[in-house]
Amino acid sequence: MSMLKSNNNECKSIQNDLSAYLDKEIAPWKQLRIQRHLKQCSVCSSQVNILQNTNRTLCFIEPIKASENFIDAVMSKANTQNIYNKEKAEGANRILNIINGLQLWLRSNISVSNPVFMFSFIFGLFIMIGVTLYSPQIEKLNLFTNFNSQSIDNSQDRLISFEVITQKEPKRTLKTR
Amino acid sequence: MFVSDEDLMLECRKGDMSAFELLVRRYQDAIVNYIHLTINDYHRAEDLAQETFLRVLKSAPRYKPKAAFKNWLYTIATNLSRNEIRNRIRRNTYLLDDLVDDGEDIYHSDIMTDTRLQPDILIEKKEQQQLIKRALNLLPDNQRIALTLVTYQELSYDEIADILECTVGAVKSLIHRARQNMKLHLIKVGIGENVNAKI
Repeated sequence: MSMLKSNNNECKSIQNDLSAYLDKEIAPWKQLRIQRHLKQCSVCSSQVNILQNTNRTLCFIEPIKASENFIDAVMSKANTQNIYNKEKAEGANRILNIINGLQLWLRSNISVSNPVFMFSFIFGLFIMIGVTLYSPQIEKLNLFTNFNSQSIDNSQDRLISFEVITQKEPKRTLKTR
Repeated sequence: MFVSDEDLMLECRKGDMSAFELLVRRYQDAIVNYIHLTINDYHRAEDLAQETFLRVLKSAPRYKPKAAFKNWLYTIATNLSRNEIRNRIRRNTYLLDDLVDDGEDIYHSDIMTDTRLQPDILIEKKEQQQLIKRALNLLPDNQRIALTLVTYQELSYDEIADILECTVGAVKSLIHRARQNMKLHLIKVGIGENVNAKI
């Protein structure tokens, strides 16, 4: 019984490798083990035959060739794509040139020691801090309205809490002896 | 002198269109055939094959010869095929071939137009090919793709694992299950053990 069980386990493990064995995608020692097993086991050897037949049937489909104008179609599309890419690259180059020019101009004309630059920089910094610290009045008004609406909601909650629930007596009572 | 795909791709990156044309010539039939077997629609397969090569050209500037060019090409083709299958399911469209009954095959009617040029054997052969394709289409997408890559493109398990972005073990079990299912589907479409023996 134990011998039969061990055989079944071996068959299972070998049957899982049969496809790889047919494709020669298995380690040489495993290949030898499978070959040895196939000589003894009729079930596994029939499985190999079935898989081989399936493979042969699949190979019956003839390969399809691309149409004659396939390359022309690809190359014409590729050329238009290339022209578009070149135009795109030219556009990107123009923008990069403008940015580079601007950088050069800034470096040559404006320096950190320049008092005008320092004044405008500090002025801009103060404005930014002011805007962040002191928010405009409109936002405050919005906050106020939000608070009002919240208070209304709270009052509705209170009204609901005043509802009195009376428990009715049951129509029939269960009497025990 | 034979120039490798990777070298051609590097030339293509420099903007050499003749290198790109050579790559298209090398792989056009293989890619059309692969996509055709995956999606089972010849005209759409040609469109997708063209799209595959255009994507190669588009991403040529970013190409780094780390992996084999072939694997990269098949990965693009596989992704396009998967998208096509997904879109077809989303649009709920069926191929004409799927809607035709077993008795009245559209390809069969094409073959029947001139019997002088195509004798009975050819007709029978074509008919069987259609049945096998139908059985192949009954497989789940991943199994069909893996089986097509190993059977018709003759790729190794390592290469398939690279294309499908999974382990070699996963590819092994995928192909094994695909062959087992294929056996059942072949019987379902009418190609049993007898036909196998004849072939």
